[in-house]
Amino acid sequence: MAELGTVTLHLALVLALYAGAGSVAGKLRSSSSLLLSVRRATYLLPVVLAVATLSLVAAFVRHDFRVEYVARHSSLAMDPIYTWVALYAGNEGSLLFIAFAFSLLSAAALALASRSLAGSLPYTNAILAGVSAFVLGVTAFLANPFQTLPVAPPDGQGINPLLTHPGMFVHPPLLMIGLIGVSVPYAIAVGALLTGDRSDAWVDQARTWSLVVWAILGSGLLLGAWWAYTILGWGGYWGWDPIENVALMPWLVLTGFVHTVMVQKRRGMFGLWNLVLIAIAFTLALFGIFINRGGPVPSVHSFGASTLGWVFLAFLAFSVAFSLVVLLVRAPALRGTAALEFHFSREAAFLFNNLLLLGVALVTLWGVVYPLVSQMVRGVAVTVGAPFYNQVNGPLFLALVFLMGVGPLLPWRHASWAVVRRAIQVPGLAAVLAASLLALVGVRQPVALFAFGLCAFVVAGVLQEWARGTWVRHRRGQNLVAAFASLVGANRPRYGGYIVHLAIVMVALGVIGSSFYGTQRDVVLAAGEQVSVGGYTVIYRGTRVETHPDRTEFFHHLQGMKGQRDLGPLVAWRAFYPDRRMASTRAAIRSTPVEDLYVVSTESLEDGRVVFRVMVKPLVWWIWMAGPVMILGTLVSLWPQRRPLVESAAGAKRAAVSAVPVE
Amino acid sequence: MMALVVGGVLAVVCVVLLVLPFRRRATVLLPEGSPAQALERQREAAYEEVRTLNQDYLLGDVPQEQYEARLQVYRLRAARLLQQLDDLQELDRQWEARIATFRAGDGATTTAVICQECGGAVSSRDVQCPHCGSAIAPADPTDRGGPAGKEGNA
Amino acid sequence: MVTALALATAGCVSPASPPSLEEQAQDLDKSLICPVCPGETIDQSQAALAKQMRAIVREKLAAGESREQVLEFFVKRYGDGVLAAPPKGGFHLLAWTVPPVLVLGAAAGLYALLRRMGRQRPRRGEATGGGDLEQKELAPYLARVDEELRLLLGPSGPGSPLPPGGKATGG
Repeated sequence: MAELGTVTLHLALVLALYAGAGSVAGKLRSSSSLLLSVRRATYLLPVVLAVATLSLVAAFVRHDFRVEYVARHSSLAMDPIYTWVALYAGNEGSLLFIAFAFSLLSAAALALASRSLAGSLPYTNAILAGVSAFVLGVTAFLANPFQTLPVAPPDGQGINPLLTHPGMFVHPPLLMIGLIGVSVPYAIAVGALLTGDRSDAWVDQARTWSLVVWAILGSGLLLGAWWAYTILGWGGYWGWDPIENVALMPWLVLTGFVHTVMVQKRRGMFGLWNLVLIAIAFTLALFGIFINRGGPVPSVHSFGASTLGWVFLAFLAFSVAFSLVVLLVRAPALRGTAALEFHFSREAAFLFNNLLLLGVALVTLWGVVYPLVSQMVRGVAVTVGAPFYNQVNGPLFLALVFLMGVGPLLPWRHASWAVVRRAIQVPGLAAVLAASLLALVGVRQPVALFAFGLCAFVVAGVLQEWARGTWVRHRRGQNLVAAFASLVGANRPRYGGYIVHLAIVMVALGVIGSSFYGTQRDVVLAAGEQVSVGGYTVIYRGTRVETHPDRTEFFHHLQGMKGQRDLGPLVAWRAFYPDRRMASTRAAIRSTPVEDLYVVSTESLEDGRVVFRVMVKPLVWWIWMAGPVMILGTLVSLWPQRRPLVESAAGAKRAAVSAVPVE
Repeated sequence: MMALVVGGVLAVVCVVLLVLPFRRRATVLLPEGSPAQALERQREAAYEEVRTLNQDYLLGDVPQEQYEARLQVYRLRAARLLQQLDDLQELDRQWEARIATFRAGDGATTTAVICQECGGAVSSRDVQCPHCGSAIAPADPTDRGGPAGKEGNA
Repeated sequence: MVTALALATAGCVSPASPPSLEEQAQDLDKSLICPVCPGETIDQSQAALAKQMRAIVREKLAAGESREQVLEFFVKRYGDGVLAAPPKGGFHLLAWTVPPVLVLGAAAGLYALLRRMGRQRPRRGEATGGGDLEQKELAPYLARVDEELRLLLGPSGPGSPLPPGGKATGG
């Protein structure tokens, strides 16, 4: 199996190199045969890589410890379902997985764009193949997962216990796909730029792919937060860890891109700016992969020292130089045609939203690299952690939420004061009402009040937009449901976007609630003892111990009470892995929309007592619920818009043209 | 051993699939980003603008006089685009007529082909496309030694 | 927005009610990095050293030391790296000032740019609708456009103007 893996890996590398070089040659020589052939190479790549990936999976399933990677990341005692997770538990397997996933994305992108972007497709193909070739080259020559050991060990070292969590089936693949996937909209945009295609035909394709990648990255980030919340045992979900940060940055820039690309689609503006944005997103995504796979910054996620760093750095530098040269050479042809009118236009709001998103990304990047700067300039080791990001990014996020509320209420081009005032009347009132209501209830923290007010502003704005549109249609004779459906159907990108805005507000609610109003207690309990935290009582009933070859599992049975109401049994799980001298926990969480009761055991003392951390975290539920809402919104805004008349008229014309005899 | 066989078969399949396009008669790729297509897109965009403008107007976000002014802009834009599209088609017709006369004259020596850049009809005698000015690849797909095409319309 | 930012910063420094000793301790836990487990605060980490440090934090607070004194104690022992965020002073002021300066600078630049673009807004030919001559030439095409728009927009299209309907429902 290992040999088959190595053979297919090299075959894939040859295919990718051929696709890259052949695309450029085919375009330059206008050879349709060559172009057709290289497109096939791109379609073949996922097939070949599927064989390679499957042979690694097979090696895991058959416990083929002759393969070094399998020996390092699995063991006989391991639960077989975690084979899939073990596949990307280390550098080598992750790179193979990234290459496979990316080849699928590339093939899909080419197939989707082959009609509308026939002209720039060769360049797009070349860029996609170039990225593939780089990943495959590194995998084949520097981090081959099929490397065999001279003698097969009797048992493997086993998987990192932190990775044996259901979230791990989805979170790492989504992040990896998301990061490498930024290359797709980048390749489409730069392909069009290289061709000199000024028709903006690439905008649709780039928007589709950037939204897809955006949703994938966003889901990956949310799932990662959920994983951290349930398993890391400190009750947080976001630690501003370098690895989280580098996945967040391209997501932020993509968020900006999916906004301004709409302006380009609708108003023909920001063409150059969008190219700059997507180039930045691509660079940050590469940087993310670089930090993930052998970067210089310490992190809980880092998979040990790796020699890959320099290779990645070189590729990163090369791609930055490439983007810069392409942009500088082609930029003069891309002057926007429509003038931006200032005052309160939606375009201006989009620009400021971009600025803030880039600002947050920049702050985060600065935080990630500052320790290196300090080390190099002063030789002093410093840490840039949560307090820094919370203080610097916090206000920027609040400003973003504000813009998210105001932007959609502003009309395109130019809004008179009267229009603006009328548009923000109701949401503004809602914000003030919500804040004063909360103040009455007893929320005293001014920042929290302000932030909750902003959330209310956004929600009220979205509801007002829906209500107004529905009402107008209703008055023209549709019933309310049909009116609402046809309203959303008439402008899916816009109303899908509103749904996503609601999801963002849900995340904001959770973050504000849990960071301003959490209660936490660390206690030592003997069986039968209890503790009260924030209106809850937790009674420790006793512990059941299970012994496995590689670990000892503790099931701490607890009972939760809210006031006098019994919440039923809770189990806080903890496992100790003696070989690795590592513990892994699974918190007992009682989740409601209002607040979570969170109990995690941190240590078992020798006298049989157990150390628990008990927390009450308000509104965290909303963060996880935002995921499905976000995906729903993305789907709505991606759903193809039907354009009956124009489409059919254009289609008929095209048919007429192609019916002309050409022989 | 098994691995080498499977890998070898896979490699052979790949090579066959990749070489096939060269053996077959060259297929003409779809016209790429032709001017007609670009015009159509712009016209669609203009209609889209009218549609959303109309929506905003119905919602009361745009005052009457602004609405009318902008509507006029988009109508004119769309009309101009229609005009240009018609001009293009007129050109097409002229060329077809010329091709017909060519073929009637010395049919055996010339063939009509499609410009790879704009999709317009051109004669194989042409070195440059009369529509978009880009260089014409040689008509015979097997003759790849001829003058190489270059980006002409960037 | 400026007031929003001001409010936000003001809120950060003035908590509503004086926090209890344990709350202060938890806050300190989150501001100190465990020296033996990179990237984790002593609040997150379960290492023996982190537990020790948590105990020291509580001891010192109970003895009446201030937050700054506790932090200083750990910095003396383990260096600047023990702080979860660089100190706001000396060279490390760079860490805090560079991003806000860049963001504010970019915002100012963007504002200025928009102002300039807003001022030089010469209406180009298109907006005025061209000359009469062109209008005449375009007439058949305009008719086609109107026909297509009617099909596209249905009865609510510009061909049959409706009075603006939103005013009553805006509130």
